Amino acid sequence: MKNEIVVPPYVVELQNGQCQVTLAGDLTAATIPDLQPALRKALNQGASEMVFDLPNAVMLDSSGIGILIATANSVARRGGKIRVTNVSDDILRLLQMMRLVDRLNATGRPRQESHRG
Amino acid sequence: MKPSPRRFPPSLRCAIASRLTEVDSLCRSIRMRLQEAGLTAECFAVELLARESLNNAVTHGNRSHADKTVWLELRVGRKWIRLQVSDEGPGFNWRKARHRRCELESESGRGMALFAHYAEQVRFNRCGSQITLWLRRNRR
Repeated sequence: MKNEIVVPPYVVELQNGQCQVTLAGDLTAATIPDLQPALRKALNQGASEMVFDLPNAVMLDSSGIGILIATANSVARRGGKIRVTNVSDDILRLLQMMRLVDRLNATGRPRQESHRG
Repeated sequence: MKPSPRRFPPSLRCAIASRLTEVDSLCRSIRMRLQEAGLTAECFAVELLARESLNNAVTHGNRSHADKTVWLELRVGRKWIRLQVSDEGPGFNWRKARHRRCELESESGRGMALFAHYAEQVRFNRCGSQITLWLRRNRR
């Protein structure tokens, strides 16, 4: 197996207590060691609302779910909330099965409107 | 004559070092193979089960010792997909773990629930260092 490091890039923006985390790819165990310090920093800087945007994520594993729950628990302690946006149908079904859609305020990707001519 | 695009057989047998980056690379390779073989309906479930099994093997089984190996075998049949992952660790008490319930606020412990939901059958060897999962094809 080729020995390569694959870490999807992410952007963390903090403004007026709201932190937007935009992931370019998946949220999995391999992503977390890189992402976790940035999340911790945002929480230490007073973020009370965390928005995870996953527009291109194909995969969310139990470690990814774990970091979302850990973040939700952290912001809930300070009266804040978490949102997970733009998740794929497969990931939304996974969160539904885990009964986590409400806890994470998860929403799917907007549907493409069909144009009738 | 135009060369045909390179296609990989979906079945796969390989060994990786105990690193999460290796798990990620292998799972991306599995995703690509299944998509190329037209198994898009099964792709998410197979990749998720592979990731969970491999992550467990690397972090719990081999304790992230990069000199230890994790083996994966993926066999795609006409009706079934079989995934087997083994590690070099001492195993774990899977009989106890499979009955453990995970609270909504819990930050870990969801692996068994994922196995039970996405696989038709889950089997461990006696000591728990090898997991075998079966999925029925065309789940949707």
